[in-house]
Amino acid sequence: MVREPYPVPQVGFLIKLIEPDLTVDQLVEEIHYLQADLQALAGLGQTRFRPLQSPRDQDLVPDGLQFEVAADRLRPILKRLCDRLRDKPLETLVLIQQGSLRLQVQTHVAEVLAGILSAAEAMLPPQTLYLGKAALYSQSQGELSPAELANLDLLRQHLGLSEQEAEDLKGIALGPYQTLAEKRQRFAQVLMLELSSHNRRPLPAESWQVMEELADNLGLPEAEANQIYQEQLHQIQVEAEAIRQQEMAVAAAQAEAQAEAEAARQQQQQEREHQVEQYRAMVRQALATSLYPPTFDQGRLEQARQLWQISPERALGMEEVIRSEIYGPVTSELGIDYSRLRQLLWAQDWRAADEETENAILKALSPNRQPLDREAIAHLPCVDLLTIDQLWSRYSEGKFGFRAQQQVYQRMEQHRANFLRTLEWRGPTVSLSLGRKPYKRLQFTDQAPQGHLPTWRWCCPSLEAGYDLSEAVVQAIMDRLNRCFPLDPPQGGA
Amino acid sequence: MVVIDPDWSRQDLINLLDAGEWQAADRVTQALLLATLDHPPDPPAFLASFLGRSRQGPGYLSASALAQLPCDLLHDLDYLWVRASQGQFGFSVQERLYRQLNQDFDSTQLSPVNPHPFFQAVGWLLVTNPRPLAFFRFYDFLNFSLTAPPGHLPALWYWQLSWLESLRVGGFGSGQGGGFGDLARLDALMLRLSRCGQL
Repeated sequence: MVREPYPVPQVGFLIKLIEPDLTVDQLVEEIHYLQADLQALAGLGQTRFRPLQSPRDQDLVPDGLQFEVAADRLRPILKRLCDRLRDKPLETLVLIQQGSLRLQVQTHVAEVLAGILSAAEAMLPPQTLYLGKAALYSQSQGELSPAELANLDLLRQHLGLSEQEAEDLKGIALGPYQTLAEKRQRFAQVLMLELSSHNRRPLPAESWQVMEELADNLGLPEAEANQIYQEQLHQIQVEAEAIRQQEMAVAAAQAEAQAEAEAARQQQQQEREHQVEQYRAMVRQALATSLYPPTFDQGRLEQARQLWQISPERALGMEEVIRSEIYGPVTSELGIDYSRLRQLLWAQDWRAADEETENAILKALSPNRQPLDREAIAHLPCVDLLTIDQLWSRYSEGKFGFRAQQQVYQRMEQHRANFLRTLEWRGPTVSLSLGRKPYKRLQFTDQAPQGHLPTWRWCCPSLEAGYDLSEAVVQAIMDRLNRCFPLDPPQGGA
Repeated sequence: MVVIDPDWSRQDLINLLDAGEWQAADRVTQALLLATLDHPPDPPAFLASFLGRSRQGPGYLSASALAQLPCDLLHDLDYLWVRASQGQFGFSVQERLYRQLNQDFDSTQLSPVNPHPFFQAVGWLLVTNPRPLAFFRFYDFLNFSLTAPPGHLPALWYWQLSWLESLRVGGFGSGQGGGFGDLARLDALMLRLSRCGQL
C-alpha cells in the first residue's frame, strides 16, 4: 500500500498457537486458515507472513506467524483475532511491538484479547490512530457517515488532537476525492477510459487488478467498484446491442430494398425480353415471305419497335440476324456488303448477281477496279469466298457456286479445256473462234449446267470477244479454292 | 505511224481542246494514256524498228493494258473532251453508245460484212453506204471536227497498234486503218469504263 506520504509507523505482530491439544495436522491447518483470514483483511493483501516453527515430536512444526503491518491496521487485526477466539477458543500467544514498546498476551478468551486493544492503541502515536480509524471508516463506505464523523470527533477529543489536525488527517484518509459520489465518479471515469482503450470489452484480469488497486487507493469499497464495473459493462452491452440492432435494421432495410429493386429489374428485364422476343417473332414472320418486307409489314414493325422502345440500331441488327438465318449469312473479312448480292440471288436475277459478284470482289481486292491477276487471286479471303459460294449455292440449290466449280474441275482431272467445256464456258472447238463464247452468250438461267455461275469475269480484261480464261488464271483460282475449301479425300481410294 | 511526244501534259490537252485542235488533242490524249503503262524493257534497236515500236515504250494499248488504265485519268480525260465538245466527243459518249448497240449484237457473227454496229455509229468505217463494210478508215481521214458523229473521237487509243497487231487485224502494219475491228480491245476499254463507273 503506497497511499500517502504520511509516515505510518509499522507494528510488528507475532501470533503463536500454543494449544497443547492440537495434533500436528490440525495445527498446520489452523495456521493456514489464520494466515488466509488475516490476508483477507483490508490493507493486508501485500503483507509478508513469516511462519514460526517449533520442535514437536522431533520435528519442526509450523505453529505461528510473524509479520509487520502499518500501525493503523492494529485494530482490525486484533478484532479479527478476537472473532476467531470467540469462534474457536484456542490458547494463543499474541505479541505486539511498536518501536521499543512491547505488548504480550496469552489467552483463549476473546474478551481478554479485546481488552488489550486500547492498551495497544495507546502504544501508537495519536495521529496514526486517528488516521487509521478515519481510513477504516472511509474504506468501509467510501465516505464518512454522520455516525462515523461523531465517532471520529470523540476519538479526536480522546486523543487530544486539535480540530485542524483532525481535519487534515481526515482529508488524508479520504484522499483527494472526499465523498463517495466523487470517488465513484472518478472511478467510473477512469474505468470508462480503460474500457474504451480495450475496445469496450470486459477488462482482462490484469487490467481489472489495476482498477481494483485504484478503487483501493481512492478508498472506494470493492463492492462499489465492482458494481460500477458491472453497470458500465451492462451499459456497454446495452449500447452495443442497440447499435447492433440498429445496424441490423438498416441492413435488413437495405437488403429488402435491394431485393425489391432486383425483383423489379428482373421483371422489367423479363418483360423486355418478352417484348424483344415478340418483336423478333414479328420480324421473322415479316421476313419469312420476302427478303425485304413490304411496306405494310415495315409499318407494323416500326410501330412495334416504337411501342416497345427498341432502338433502331438494335432492330436493324435483329432484322439482319434473322435475315441471315433465313437467307444466308453475308459475313465478310474485308467489310464488303453482300446483302445486294443476296437480294439479287434471292430474286433469281442471275446476270445481275454475277455482275454484283464481280463488283464485290473488285471492291474488296482491287481499289482501282482492275481485273484480278494471279497474285491478287491468291489473296482472296476465304471468308468472303465462302459467303459468296454459300449464297450462290443456297439460291441455286447447290448447282452454282465456287465449290460446284471446284468439283467439276476435280471431276475433269484438272484439265482446263475440258473443265471450261463442261461448265459450257466454251463451246465445241470446231468453229473459227475455237469455241470461245462472248460473255453475254453465257446462260444466266437456272437451266445452266452445274458450276456455270458465278463466272470469273473479275479476272477478265474484256468479255465480248470471248469469255476466256488462261491456264494460269484457272490454276490460280483453283489453288485458292482448294486452300479455302479442302476437298474431301477421293472416295473408295480411287 | 503517228509519232507522239511523250512529254505532253494535261494543260496542253486543255489548250488544244479549247482551240478546237481535235486531232492534236487526240494524240495528246493517247500520249497521256500510254504514259501510265508500265514500260517493259526496251527491245534492242533493230527489233524495235522491226516491231514498229518507239524505244520510249509500247506504242499501243492492248486489251489487258486498257483494262488496267487508271480510273481517275479516264474520268478526267473524258470530262475535258465532253466539256470542250459540248457532249459530242469523249469516252463516256462512246461507252453509252456501245452499251446500247452491243446488247443485240452477236459477236460470233462478226464478219467483214457484219461489223459491230458501234463502229458504224461512230463513223469509224471506210464504207458505210449502201451497206457497211468492216474496213476501218485511215487515221488521217477521220473527221476531226464537230460535224463528226457523236463518239467519233477520241479514236487514237483504238487506231494505234503495233506492227504485228496491225497485220493481225488485217491492216497494213500501220495501225487500225484498212483493217477489221478487234472486239477485244473495244470491249476492254468499255468494260474498264463501266468498272470505273462503279467507283
